[in-house]
Amino acid sequence: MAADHPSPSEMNRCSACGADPGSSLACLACGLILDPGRRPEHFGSLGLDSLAAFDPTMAELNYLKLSRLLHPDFQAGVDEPTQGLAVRNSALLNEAWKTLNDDQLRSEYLLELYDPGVLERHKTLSPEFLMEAMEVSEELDDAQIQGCKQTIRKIAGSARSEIETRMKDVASACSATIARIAHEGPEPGETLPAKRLDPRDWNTDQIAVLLHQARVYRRILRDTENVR
Amino acid sequence: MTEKLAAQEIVIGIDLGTTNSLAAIVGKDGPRILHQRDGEALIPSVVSFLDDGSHIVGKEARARAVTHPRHTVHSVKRLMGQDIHEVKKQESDRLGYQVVQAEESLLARIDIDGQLYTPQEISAMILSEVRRTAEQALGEPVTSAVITVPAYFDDAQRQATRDAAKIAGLRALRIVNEPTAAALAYGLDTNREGTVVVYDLGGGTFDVSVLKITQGVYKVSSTAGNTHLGGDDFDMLIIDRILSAVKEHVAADATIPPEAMQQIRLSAEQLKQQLSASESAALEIDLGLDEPIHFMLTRADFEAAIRPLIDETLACCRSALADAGVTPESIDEVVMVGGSTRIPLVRQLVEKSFGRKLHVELDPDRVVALGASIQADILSGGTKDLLLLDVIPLSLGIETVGGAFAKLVTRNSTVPARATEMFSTSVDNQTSIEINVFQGERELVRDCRQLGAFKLRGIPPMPAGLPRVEVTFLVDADGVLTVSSREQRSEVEASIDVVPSHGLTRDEVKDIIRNSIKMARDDFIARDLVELRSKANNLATGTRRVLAMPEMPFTDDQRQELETDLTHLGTLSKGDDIAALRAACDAFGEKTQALADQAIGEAIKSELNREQSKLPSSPQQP
Repeated sequence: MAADHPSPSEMNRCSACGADPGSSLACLACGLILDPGRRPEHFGSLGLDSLAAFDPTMAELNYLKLSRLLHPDFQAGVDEPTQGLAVRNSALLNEAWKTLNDDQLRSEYLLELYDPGVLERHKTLSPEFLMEAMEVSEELDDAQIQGCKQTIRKIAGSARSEIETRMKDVASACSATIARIAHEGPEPGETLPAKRLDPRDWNTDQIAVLLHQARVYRRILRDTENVR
Repeated sequence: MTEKLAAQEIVIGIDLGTTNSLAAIVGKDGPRILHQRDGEALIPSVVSFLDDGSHIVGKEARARAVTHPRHTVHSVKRLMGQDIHEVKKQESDRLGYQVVQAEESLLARIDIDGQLYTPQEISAMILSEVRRTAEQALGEPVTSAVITVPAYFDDAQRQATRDAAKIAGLRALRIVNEPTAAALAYGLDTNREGTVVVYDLGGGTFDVSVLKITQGVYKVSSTAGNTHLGGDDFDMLIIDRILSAVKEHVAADATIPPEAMQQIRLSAEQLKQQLSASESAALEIDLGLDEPIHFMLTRADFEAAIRPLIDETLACCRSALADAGVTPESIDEVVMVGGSTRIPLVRQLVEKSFGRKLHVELDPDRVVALGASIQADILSGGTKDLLLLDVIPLSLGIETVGGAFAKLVTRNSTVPARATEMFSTSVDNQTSIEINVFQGERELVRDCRQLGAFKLRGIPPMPAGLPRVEVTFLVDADGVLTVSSREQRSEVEASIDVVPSHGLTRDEVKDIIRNSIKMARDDFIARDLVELRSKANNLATGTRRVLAMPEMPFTDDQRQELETDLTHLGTLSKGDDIAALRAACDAFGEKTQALADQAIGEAIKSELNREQSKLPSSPQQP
C-alpha cells in the first residue's frame, strides 16, 4: 500500500476509495493512511465537527477505529515512509483524543480555535478570585499536614462543584441558542442535536475567564488527591 | 519504530524478572509457557561465575549463592540503568556480590574478582539462558522477542534492558510494561471488558496500572509504581530481624561472613513464603558457634514489619486512580500479579482499599510472560483482534531558564505521543542551540533524570531572538524519544545530535557484543562441562547404589572393573578435557545400562519373592 498523499483541496475525497475519509489522519472508509499536513485540527483528526454538539460515544468509537488503522503495531511489512506516517499520525490522534476527551481541555481548544489568543489575554485573574482560591489552598495544606481526611473530602467536594458551575456557565456562554432552547424549548422546526454552535454568539472573554478559574479549581482538586 | 519482520519468524515473549525469568509463545491453542528440559518453567535470574571465568545461569547458579556469594549475582534487575548512589548501601551490603562505580561514569558495575560487568551484561546472560530454553522447547532458533519491564521503569532502565537483549543476540521488537502484559493475558483468559486495575507486586518492583478494555483495545489510562519495592524488600526486613537475633549471640564487632549472609538471605525468603501459609515459622542459623541460633517469626510480626511498604503501594494505587480519573466504585476488576501478591496481608489490604473481591485466578508468576507472548503475536502479524495502547510513566521535558523543568509530554500520555516547542537564540548570529532533555515529575531539572543533550545545528545566522526553531519531540510506541526541528523563517531543517547521558553508548554495546561473541564459545564449553560433570556424577551415584545391593550377583572381577571405571570418571570430572569426559561418560553409560537393567530385574525378583512369602500357601485365583 503506497501512501498517496492528497493535497488539502482534495482532502474531502479519499484518493484510494473516493469516499469522504471522515478523519484527516486516515480514511475511515477504506483505511488509507493520509498526510494531514503540519498541524491538523484535533476535531478533524478525530473525524468530528468542531461546531456540532460533542458526542463522547462517537468520539471514542472513532478514536478506537483510527487507533486500529494507525497504530505502528499493525504496520509490520509496510514501507518505511508509511510506517513513519503511521507513528506520526498515531501521535496526532492521541494528542487529539487527550484534548477532546477532557471537558476543560476541549473547551479551551475550541475557544482558541475561534478566538486565538483570548486565553492569554485573560490570564490574570481578579484579586478577589485569587484570594478566595488561596484560602482554599491553605485550608487544604493544613488539613493534609494534620491528616484530616474529612476536611480534605469537603474541599474536594466543593472544588468539584465550583468546576461544574463554571463548566455549565461555559456551555451556556458558548451557545446562547442552546441555552435558550434548554430553558424555553426549541423553536418550531429546531432540534437540539442538529443545531450547530455559532462562534459569533460566544462571549469569548467571559468564557476565557471561566475556564481559567475552573483550571485553578482543577489544580486544587488534584492536590486533594496528593498523598503525604 | 517497529522493526520489520521476516515472514513466519518466531517471536517469543520474555518476562525478565528480578527473581525468575521465563518465556512463552502463542501457538495454535493460544499462549503457552516454554519449559526447560526438566519441566520447570521459571529460570532463577541468577548468574554464577566459575573459577575459570565462565558462568552458569539459573537453578545451578542460585544453588551457588551460599557457597560462592561473591561470585553469584542475583536481583541484577534492581541495578539496571542505576547510578551507584541510587543503589542503597544497606542493599548492596546484602547482595553478597560487589557493586562498584564504573570508571568512566557514575553507573553501577558488578565486580567479580576485579573483572567488572555491567548489569546489562549479566541480564544478557539471563536472557541467553531463556533464549536457549525457548530454542530447546521449540526446536528452532529464536532471534526476536518482546521483553517486559516494570511499567515504572524510566528511560535509562528501559534502554539498559534493550541493550541487554542486543548483547544476548535478541532483537527486542518491543519493550512492554509488565502490568499491561498481564492485562492482555487476563483479557484473553476471561474475555471480559471494562475498567481493570492491575496490581503487580513482584520480587523487586511494584506497578499499578489502570486500563480500559473496549472492543479488544487495551488502553492504559494511568500507571504508577516504585522500581525499588518488592519481595526483596520484605526479605530485607526479615534479614534485619534475623541479624539482630544473631547479634545477641556474637561479639558486638563481629562481621558476618558473606556465605552466612547469603544463607540468611535465602532463609529469610523461605520464612516469608512459609508465613503465607502458617501463623509462624522458625529456622536455625548455624554460624559454626557452639550451638545453632534459633529464630522464630510470627505472621503478625512479619505483617507489622511490611505494613508501611504495602501502604506505600496503596498510595500509588490512589494516585493512579486519580490520574486515570476513575473512582474505586467504577472499577470492574482488580487483577493481582507478581509472586508477592501471595502474601495474605497484601491481598487483604488491597481488597479493603478497593472495596471489592480481587481477581487472583491468574498464576502470578506466569501471566506476564503469557501476556508478552500475546504482544509478540500481535507484532508478528498473528492477531489483529487485540491492540495495546500504552503510556509513558514519567513526563519528558527540557531544561529552561534557571534550571526549571518544562514538561513537554506529560506522564500517562498514550504513545506514540508528540509535542512541539519553539526555541530562539540569545546572541547574534548564533547557529546552534543546546537543549537538555530530562525525565521526571519534579519542578527542577536537578531533581529529574537527564536523558540526553540535543544540539540544534545549522541555524542561519540572524540577530538574537529572531530565529524561530520549532522542535518536535516524538515518542514512539516503544517510548523512545526522537527529536526533529526546523527553523521557520528559513525553512532550514536543523540537524540534531543525541548524546545519551545514561546507559551504554552505541560503541560500548558494540564492544560488548564483539567480546561476547568471543566469549560465547567459552560459555558454551563451560556449560557443556557443567552438564557432563553432572551426568558423570549421576552415573557414579547410581552405580554405587547398585553395587551396594546385596542381591546383585557381581563377580569380584566385575566389581573391580566398575570401581576402576568410577575412579577414572571421577578424575576426568575434576579436569576440563571435555572430549575425554564425554567419551568416558558414554562408554560407562553403555556398560552400566546393562547393569541397570539387571538391577531392576533383581529388584523386581526379590520384591516378588518377598510378596510370595507373604501369600497364603494356596495361591488365590485372580
